[in-house]
Amino acid sequence: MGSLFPAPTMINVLLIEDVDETAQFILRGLREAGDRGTRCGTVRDGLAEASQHSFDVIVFDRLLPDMDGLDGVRILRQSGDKTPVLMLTALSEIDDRVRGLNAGADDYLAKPFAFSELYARLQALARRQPLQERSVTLTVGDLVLERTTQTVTRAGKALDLLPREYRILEYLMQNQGRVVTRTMLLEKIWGYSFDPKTSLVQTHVSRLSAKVDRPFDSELIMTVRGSGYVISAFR
Amino acid sequence: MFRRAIAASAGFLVVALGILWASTSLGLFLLDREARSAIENELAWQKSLLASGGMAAVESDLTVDGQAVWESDWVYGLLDEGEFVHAVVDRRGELRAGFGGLSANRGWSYVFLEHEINRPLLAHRSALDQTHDIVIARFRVDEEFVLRELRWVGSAFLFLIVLPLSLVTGYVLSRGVFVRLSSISETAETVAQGEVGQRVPLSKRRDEFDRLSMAMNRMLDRLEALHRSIKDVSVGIAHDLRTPVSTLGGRLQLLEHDAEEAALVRKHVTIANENVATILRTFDALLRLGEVEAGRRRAAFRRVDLSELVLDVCETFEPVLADAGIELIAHIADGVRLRGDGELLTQLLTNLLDNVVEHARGSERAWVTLSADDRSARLTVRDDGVGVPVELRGLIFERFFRLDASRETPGNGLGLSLVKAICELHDGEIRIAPSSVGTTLETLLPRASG
Repeated sequence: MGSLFPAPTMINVLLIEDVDETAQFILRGLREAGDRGTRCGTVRDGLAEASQHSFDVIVFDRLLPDMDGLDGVRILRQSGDKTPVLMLTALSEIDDRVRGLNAGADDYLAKPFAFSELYARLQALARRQPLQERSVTLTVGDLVLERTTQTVTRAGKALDLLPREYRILEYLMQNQGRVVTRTMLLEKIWGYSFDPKTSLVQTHVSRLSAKVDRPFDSELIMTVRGSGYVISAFR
Repeated sequence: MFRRAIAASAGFLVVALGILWASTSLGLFLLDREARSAIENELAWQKSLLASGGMAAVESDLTVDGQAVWESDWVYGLLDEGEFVHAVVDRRGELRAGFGGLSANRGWSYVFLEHEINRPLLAHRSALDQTHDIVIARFRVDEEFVLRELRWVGSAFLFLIVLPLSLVTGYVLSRGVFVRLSSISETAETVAQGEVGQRVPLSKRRDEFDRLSMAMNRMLDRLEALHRSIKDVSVGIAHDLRTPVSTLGGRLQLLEHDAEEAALVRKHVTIANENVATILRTFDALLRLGEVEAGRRRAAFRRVDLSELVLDVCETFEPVLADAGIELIAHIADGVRLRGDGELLTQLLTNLLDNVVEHARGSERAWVTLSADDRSARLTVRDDGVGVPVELRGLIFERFFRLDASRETPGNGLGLSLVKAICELHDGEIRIAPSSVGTTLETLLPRASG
């Protein structure tokens, strides 16, 4: 777990998972990252727990003993609970992702997964702001991104970014201080659910970095080896 | 099989015989009844004559040409007309009127006349008055004889001709069926033993058996293809996963060895994770390949703007190729649309460009061209690298096929298989076009109508 970038604030996670090894794996990782995790083994217990306490994010396994996780998520949404949900699954068909998202999940991760991948996504979900609360301006250090005009400046100087580079930067800045994984970028920026062999994401992030960091004295975009990328004014 | 034919023949025979006998018997019965009732009517008539005019009236009724007692010759005239032959006798047996050659016992009986005519008669004798009996008889009609003849001839015909004929036919037919069916079941048995290449032989007749055989052959084709692909997959998995798995094993041994040194431990674990990721990628690629080949994605087809899609992927890959020292040149026709799966088509082009980056050694330039006519869209990816040796060109789309036999370069040999599967899902085709320099992969996809 050493390659985790320390996150700014603690998150409270509800984990609904029946397989002990997976549950222990996740809980231990959360504990070491300084976050809180509560575990339930069935949908029924999980829904009861969710109704009694509030959580920042819920991790829902797809295959549970008493019910299909998808149905569990549907029931959760029907009860008015808007807590972000990440679904875990051993199934990896292309359609499963869509089905999960349609049922009300916010993200979908196939097993096996690296804990850093799961953690980065949990952080992103836990901190996600609803549309109305989204700020018009994003700031990281002296880097400013204006959503209305889609312009980016650093230390007052305008940066000339290609549309895709802009979107990558925007996503990184929305999740500033938290790791954004390669897979998250592939899904969000390119909409790819497959993994191209070439270092597609790395190439584009390097180009972005060359424009955002190289001409200036401090590096805002950092690569976290084995996890992904993070933008932060602090190291 | 033959038992059925014999049973059917026997059943048919029994039924036919039954019908023959029943109908002839019915006919005979009706004729007999008709004759009896005619005789009874005649008896009633004679009795009424007796009642009104006494014996004299009866005699007079039976008098022909002034004679009460008939001549022998007169009987001939009664044959055709179904007329009655009478005989009125007294107690002593002396003939009073009618034909002397007619005699019978009281009640109903069948008799012959004392006469040359050999035909039997139905006779009825009863008391006319206290001293006389009357016998009324009628010749049995032609129809009766015909029916009886028919009965016997028919039965003989059925036994001697129809029965053997139906047995032979039954045998021949069922043998035919048996032969056809056993050819099919033999093929199935052979395939079940493992020879998946066997097919059911077809006759020229194009009958139901041929249709069944053709359907079976189509099924066996599919079975063979699946069998082959499972074999390929097994072989490929054996080869291509063995290496990273054994590498992983080696790495873990090193980890064990260097367990005390934190920096080395970290290094080993990172590399081990990369190995695991490679294996998982291969499995994912296989799963996706399987999914595409199963054709399930076709249900989600919609209109795709191929021009936009190709442009987007080119923009994404341009820096990647540039980093590998390859200039990307794109010629993309506008407004090329077709029905398909956008995500799979993206993956198709991505795999082709991945291929250029990974394997086109010595390339300096790569071209992506999209053009279209009314019927199809043509997407070409070309590079000016080393190229594929001619003898291997047919194999590059096979699963797990790697040009680089040492398997040093990353990749699992499934990229082009997936490209081919995606093409075929869209009813298109891909081929490696002949080129003097580098590799040209040409994809043809049929367009939407409208």
